[in-house]
Amino acid sequence: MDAEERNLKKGIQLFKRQDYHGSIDVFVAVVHAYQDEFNKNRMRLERNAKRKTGRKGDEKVCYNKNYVNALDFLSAAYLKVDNLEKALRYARVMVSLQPLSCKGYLRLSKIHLLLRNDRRAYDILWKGYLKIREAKNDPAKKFVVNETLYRQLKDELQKSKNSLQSGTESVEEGMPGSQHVEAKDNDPLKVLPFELLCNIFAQFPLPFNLRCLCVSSHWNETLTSTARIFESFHLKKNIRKQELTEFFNFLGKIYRHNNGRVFLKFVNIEPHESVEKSILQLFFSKKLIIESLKINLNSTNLFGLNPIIKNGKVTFSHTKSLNLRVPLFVNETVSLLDILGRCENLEKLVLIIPKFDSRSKLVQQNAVRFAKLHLLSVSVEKEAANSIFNDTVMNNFLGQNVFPKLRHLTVSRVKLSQKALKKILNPHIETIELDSVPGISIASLLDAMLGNTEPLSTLRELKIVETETTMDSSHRDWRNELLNSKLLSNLSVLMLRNSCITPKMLEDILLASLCQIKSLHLVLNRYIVFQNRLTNPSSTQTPYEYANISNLIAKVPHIEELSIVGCPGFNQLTLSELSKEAMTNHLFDKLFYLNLSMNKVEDNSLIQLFRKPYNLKLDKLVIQYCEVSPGTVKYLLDNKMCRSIDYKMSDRVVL
Amino acid sequence: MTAERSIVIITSDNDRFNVERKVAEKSLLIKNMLKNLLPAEGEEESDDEDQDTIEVPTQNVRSAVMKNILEWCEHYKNTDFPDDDQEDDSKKSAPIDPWDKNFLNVDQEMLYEIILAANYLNIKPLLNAGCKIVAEMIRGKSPEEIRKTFNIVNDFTPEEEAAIRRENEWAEDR
Repeated sequence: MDAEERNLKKGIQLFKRQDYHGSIDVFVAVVHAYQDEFNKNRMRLERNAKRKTGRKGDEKVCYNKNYVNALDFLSAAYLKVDNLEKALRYARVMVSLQPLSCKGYLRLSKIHLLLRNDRRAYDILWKGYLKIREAKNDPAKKFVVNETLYRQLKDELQKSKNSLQSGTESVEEGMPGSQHVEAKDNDPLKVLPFELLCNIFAQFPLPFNLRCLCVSSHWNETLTSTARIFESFHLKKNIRKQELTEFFNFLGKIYRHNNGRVFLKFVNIEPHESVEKSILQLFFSKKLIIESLKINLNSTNLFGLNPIIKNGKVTFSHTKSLNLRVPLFVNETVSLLDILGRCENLEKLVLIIPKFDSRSKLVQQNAVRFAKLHLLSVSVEKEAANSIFNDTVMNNFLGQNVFPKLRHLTVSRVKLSQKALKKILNPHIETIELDSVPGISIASLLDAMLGNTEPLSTLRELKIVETETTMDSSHRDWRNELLNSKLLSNLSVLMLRNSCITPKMLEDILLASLCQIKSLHLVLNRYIVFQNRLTNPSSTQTPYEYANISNLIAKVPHIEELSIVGCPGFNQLTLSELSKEAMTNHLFDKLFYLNLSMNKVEDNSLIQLFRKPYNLKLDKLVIQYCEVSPGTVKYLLDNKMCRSIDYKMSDRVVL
Repeated sequence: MTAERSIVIITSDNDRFNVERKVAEKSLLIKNMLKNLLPAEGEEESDDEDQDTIEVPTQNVRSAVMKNILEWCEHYKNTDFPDDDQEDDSKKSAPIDPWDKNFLNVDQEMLYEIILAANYLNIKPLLNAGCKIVAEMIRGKSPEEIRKTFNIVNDFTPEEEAAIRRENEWAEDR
């Protein structure tokens, strides 16, 4: 930094010779050089802080002493040439860099006095005085104050106070505002240390904190002097260019001493279809470092987005989470990989495809290794689900690339091939959620996993919504295969909807989970049929055996959440059988959620559950479209048997 | 063994408070100070028994505030607070303890002084409770209500205020 030091000296000489314009040029260059250095230090520190998450903000970014000197001279030089605005800006940087030095406050207040903003000048002196006094009196900080400057600060403060009071008395006598200046305010922002204020304001939502900027100039200045209060930015949908520009101005303000480099914890961009391109171009032209980014597009596809990102200045190397809703070019996984290739630290990827653009362009590519990715969610929206391209694009992406650390997989409406599915299921997988994936059933999924060479025993959550499925697996010996493979030995959440699972296979799965399941949701599965001994048995026919509620319940002794929804043949007899079995297993001790919607459940058998000897107590009961009357619902709530009840009357009762 | 030396806290205005060690140690600052001066309870007593009180000066806290602080410490003297900062988030969202809320029902000036003292003396739970009270005074209020609450003078002209609002319309309002 020798060059800078020499330049600084040169600038000071020019300043002394009263060549203020000449000195400004020199100082600006020096300040910029130091600023860059400072930013590098800051970023390195931020990276370190993130590594050891427990501690942050403990360390101060170190800066060159000459940086402050240069700022001081630069501000002074601008003052000499009457450019108050610039003088103000650099004085502010001084204060934020050295909040415990009297110099910055003195300079800042002097400029405000020249701007005829006496009140602000006073506020600044007062804030500085409090901060310095606090540090001075704290033996733990070992802070030594420059006594001459400190006395000067105190004097200025007194002077400023006197002039404010006399000023208001003489000029605004009798006006309503005049007593206010006399009356002591109890502004917490003038009393409490910065750290505490950050903690307080960081818990408020962004729009509220923005509104607080109007309270007073002191609030405005204090709140915008820390980026820590503003870290996550939920931008409005259909944001206009003007608003986006103002957002960047705001970032410029709160990150004013960072050379435009801005670190954002979260930001989203959801422009209106008609202006997508220009908004995107503006957004990505800024130097931003983004940890979590959400993009929602309707017309610009990935092929169009890629060059905007490529030519932009947004840095993705710190990006951990990416949520992209973007139309996809058919077979165009190159753009996707291009974008994702920038995110070397990506941990979460959510990809939503609203439509496929039909331009075929088959590209051969090398497999990419997503080394840190642990959450992957890919959905195709309803309108695009039937596209003939649905099966090629995602199968290419999922089948050809490597996801070694994947733990959470969600796939929705993607025409996933058995082969691609097999490929992404690795030994770390913990949760699998398959929503309306054509052709994939619980049977074919288990088949794919059993076929894997490395056994997966980490699986904790399995949720499947099936579409029409064809695989008939009723004759397979699931029990032994599953038990031997230990595949489900850690399963604790199972959700099956629309599935063609047979009662026997369900029991086998429950057994293979070693009866550890805490959360079981059976929704509208056509072969889970209970024998209806009340009416004509033929009304509930099944090609397989009947389900037996006692057998089922006995295999989930740790159950906490239970849904049995829309099961043919489920009636009051089934319910009372369930309660009896539950009692012998002490099941009701842990159960807090029960969903019996779309079953033939009526008042008496339901109330029975909550009375002696069963004494069920629930956080939530869901009884949509059952045959339960409103009186029963009220009874259960009034007697605090259920905390809350989701309830819709069955059509028949309404009539 | 039972003859424990008494602890005297001296405030900035030279008031003296005799306190139990358990009470004083709610302040981590004092606790650390005592650790260096006194053997832990139950351990061997040191030799210099002639000095039977130990004085703790606290230059930053005046007597009226210290009285409040010690009342709080006395109330919680048998409560162990976990002193790890790991569960910060759950602590932040937890509601204020009703006793603390009542205890901190003082005028704003005193509230700030208690917060500053808790910060200085390093009494985390009290500091958190105090900050929560201040947060509740601000939360959800309009700028005008905030000004009223703290008797703040609005030094913006209506035009300036409108401009600030206009400049910040980029955020999703929910």
